[in-house]
Amino acid sequence: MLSQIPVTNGDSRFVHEALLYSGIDDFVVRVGAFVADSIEANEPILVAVSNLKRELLCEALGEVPDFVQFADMAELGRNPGRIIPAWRRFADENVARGTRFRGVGEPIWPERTADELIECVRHESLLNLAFEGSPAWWLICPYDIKLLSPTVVEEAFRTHPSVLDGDSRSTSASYQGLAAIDAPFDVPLAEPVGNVTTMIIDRLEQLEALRRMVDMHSTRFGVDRSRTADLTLAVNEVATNSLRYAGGPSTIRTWNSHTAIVFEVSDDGRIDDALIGRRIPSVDRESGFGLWLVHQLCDLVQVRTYETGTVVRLQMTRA
Amino acid sequence: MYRIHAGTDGALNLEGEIDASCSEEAGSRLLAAATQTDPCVDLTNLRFADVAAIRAIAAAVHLIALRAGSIELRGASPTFRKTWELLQLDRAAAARMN
Repeated sequence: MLSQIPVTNGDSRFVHEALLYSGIDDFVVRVGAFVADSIEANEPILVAVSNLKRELLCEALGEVPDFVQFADMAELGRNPGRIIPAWRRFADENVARGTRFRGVGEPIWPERTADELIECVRHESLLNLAFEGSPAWWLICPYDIKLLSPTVVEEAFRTHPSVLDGDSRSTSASYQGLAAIDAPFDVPLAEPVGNVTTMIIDRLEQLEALRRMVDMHSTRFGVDRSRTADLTLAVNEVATNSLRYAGGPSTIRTWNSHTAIVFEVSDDGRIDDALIGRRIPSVDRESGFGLWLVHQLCDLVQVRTYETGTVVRLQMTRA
Repeated sequence: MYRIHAGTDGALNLEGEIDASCSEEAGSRLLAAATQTDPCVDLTNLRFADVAAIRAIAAAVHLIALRAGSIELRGASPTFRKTWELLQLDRAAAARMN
């Protein structure tokens, strides 16, 4: 028997809620109830969770109609910057049909690295901005309070206007609000450890030398040819934007951790658009492709705007 | 940095690297060079193309297709193909990608 969670009573706006659960069995009961309720209401739903959780949900729910879709969050959310465009596609399809719809998105799991966690929290914040004023839909984000650190769970209260805990819903007193989310994202980035290689460019004609550098370091780190080509394109795009919009010089640094190679492009420009790179660009636009494509190509993208300028870091793992 | 030349089989070979320093020019040169009927653009030796270059190539092949009826793109790298699809140029530009 799947337990019931509170229904939103036909809310006419985007509802973004954290759902706190304790362990995998509780996940199946509580998220399963949400999906079952969506089926009962005839509302299409996209469930973006791990493949294991998908299997357990399907086992609990039995046969589900075609309008219940699943996505593997390990793949979709490998770079959390790719998740909002996926929700946007799903939302646009259903808004076009004139139907109400729902979602389940679990981008945070215990194995996330510290850098990934910060970007996941940022993603959760930006969802509120991305769908502000959109037609009504209901997204719940499950958080496993048994496995995640209390700090991560605290962030869920800051990034979600309301929280479902047990059988009750509460408004989150610590929700940060849209103004704070829309402000420049200036959370400090960790200083690199180990060897750092630096290149400074101020002309487009130097991009070719930059690409040689990316190719060499990425190959030496052990990234395969195909992903090295993707990374080279991504670094080239960020550096091109830096030269075009900040006017140069652009400082490029590279180093690696145990798991990923990092390329950082910094300049004295500013990025004021909080959702940059997270909107699907339409073909007829003249710009807006660069950072969006970079998000599709890299395993992690970190964008920061400080008083002193902008920093964009791109990470790629070996596989 | 890049060059366009006719191959022995009549295909137009686009070779080298195209980035923001030359993407617009490369698109214009490709458009001017594709004069034959049923043209084919061979990208086998195109080592690098940034987003601006891929969009410039798409714009050029679209105009060539309008003029010639159709156009074939062949030999594109995996990254070129992936970018082409991500930018939805497979829907916008009337080219066959082989």
